[in-house]
Amino acid sequence: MLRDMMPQFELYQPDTLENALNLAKELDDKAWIMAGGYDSLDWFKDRAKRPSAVIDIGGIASLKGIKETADGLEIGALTTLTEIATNALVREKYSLLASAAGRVASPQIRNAGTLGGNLSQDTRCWYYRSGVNCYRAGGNSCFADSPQGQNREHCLYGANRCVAVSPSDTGTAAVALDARMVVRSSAGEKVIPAEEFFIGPAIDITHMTVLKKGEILTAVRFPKEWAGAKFYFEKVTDRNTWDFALVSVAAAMLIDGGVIKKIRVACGAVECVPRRLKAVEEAVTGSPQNADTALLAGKTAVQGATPLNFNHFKIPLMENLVRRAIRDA
Amino acid sequence: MHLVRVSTDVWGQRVLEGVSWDLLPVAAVAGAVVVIGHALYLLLRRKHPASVDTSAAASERIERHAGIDRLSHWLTALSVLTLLATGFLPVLGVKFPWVTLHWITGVLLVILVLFHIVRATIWQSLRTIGIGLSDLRRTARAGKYSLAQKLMHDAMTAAVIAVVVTGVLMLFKIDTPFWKRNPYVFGADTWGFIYVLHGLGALLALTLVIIHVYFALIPENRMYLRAMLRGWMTRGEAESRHDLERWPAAPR
Repeated sequence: MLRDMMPQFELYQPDTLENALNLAKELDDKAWIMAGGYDSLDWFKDRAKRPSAVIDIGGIASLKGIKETADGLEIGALTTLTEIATNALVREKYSLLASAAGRVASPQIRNAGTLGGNLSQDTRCWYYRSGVNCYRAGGNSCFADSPQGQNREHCLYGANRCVAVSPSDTGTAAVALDARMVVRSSAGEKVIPAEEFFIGPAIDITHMTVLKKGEILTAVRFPKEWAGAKFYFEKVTDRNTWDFALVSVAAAMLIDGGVIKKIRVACGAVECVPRRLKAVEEAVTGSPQNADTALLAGKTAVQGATPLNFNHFKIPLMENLVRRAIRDA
Repeated sequence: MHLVRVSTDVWGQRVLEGVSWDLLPVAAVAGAVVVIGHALYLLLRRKHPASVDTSAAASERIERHAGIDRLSHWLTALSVLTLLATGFLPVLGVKFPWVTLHWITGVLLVILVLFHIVRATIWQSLRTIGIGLSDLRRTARAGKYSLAQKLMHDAMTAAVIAVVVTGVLMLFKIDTPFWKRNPYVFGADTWGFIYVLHGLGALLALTLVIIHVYFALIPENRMYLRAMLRGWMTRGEAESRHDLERWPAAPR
């Protein structure tokens, strides 16, 4: 496969959101919306995606920045991961998000990669990324889920013809923090809970999110309810320098007198969406935050896991991460 | 416009993927053309439909469809409509968890088709729905089913058999509470062929459903709709379109 040589495309660089939305509407099927470019440019260089027009929204100033609101925190979709990881307000009140953003890829990538891009990125299944005609690419086969398929990074839950997982670290944190995604199109604005923003193959096998043609993720809102809660984020990777998660866990909990009053927990890289662990939340709410509760949480977390040929290791890994999240938050 | 989707597989070979969804509007338009064409014909024709004898003797009710056949028909209709919706709405961009509803309804349709085959073979006469030379003679009156009804049935049978047989094979590709997926029973080429057949059957079914619903709803066919709902038509209604010597209907 020819690599590092992008096919030709028309480049549009709007400086306002309105211009970007108009372009997206006008170009319709031809348009590829690019933010930091760390997902898009891979696709183009591998020649696996060949859009004829790219709308680079990286220059839209209104989509950048972190601001405190009456309801919590609002972060523009083009805010870089480094800004999020180092911002004093985020670190003070939503350190879970800062931790997750700080564990994405490498410092160089975090300097240019954006929150919106990290949330909206495509899966990293290497069969799909190399441009083969798998289900996710519109075909009718899954090469990862074959007798010889290399699937140690793939899913434990929600396999539905495709077995890819969500690669987004900030997505896992966003689900745990009950974030709201602000999506704009020429038709107006809508606000979508993080849990509903990500979709699995049973709903749409060719997309990772509910974003449709002509829609742009403009901001993410983090509710006040979880500001200053106790948090835990941990991501296990093959390489500690920079890599996508083998399994990650994000937990936010409100503790009163040593008892878990309210909790949200999500795991990354075990399903095509950040997997919210509702059974764990129900099991530990009202229990003391201790080793016994953590043990129960870990065992509850992996109920129903269905490993593929080469990813059985993810089950104890996920169990231990959830156990640590409850015990050490 | 393309007829099929073709792509390059992992070994660089061109393989069939399935029917092209460019054909979806074609299937819908084909149904609409028949509907609009027939509606125009009804508006413009000079000949009025055959009158129905409404005398007391002709008002006697005769059985057209037994209760079990009506139940089977409506369950089949519900299944087919659900399968068309869960199959085509995602193609049109409507996002919902369609796979589970699609395969469960598909299994229901398989059961209904098997039931219908057994019922038609053992308890009914296959000759009533077969097309013979007498159906092609303009002077001959229809038996229990007219030529148009037989053509609709036989075309729908072909579409449903295509989707049911290929659909059963496609069940190998998904996990259910009853079996684990094993997508490797066939090679990519065979799967492509199966997907093409499944898509073509579904598109044909879409066209036929549009036509079938239209002909079921037009006023001059109201007696057939009533018969499918309540089981009977009057002897006069039957005699207006059918030869009761070829269709020895029982009184009801």
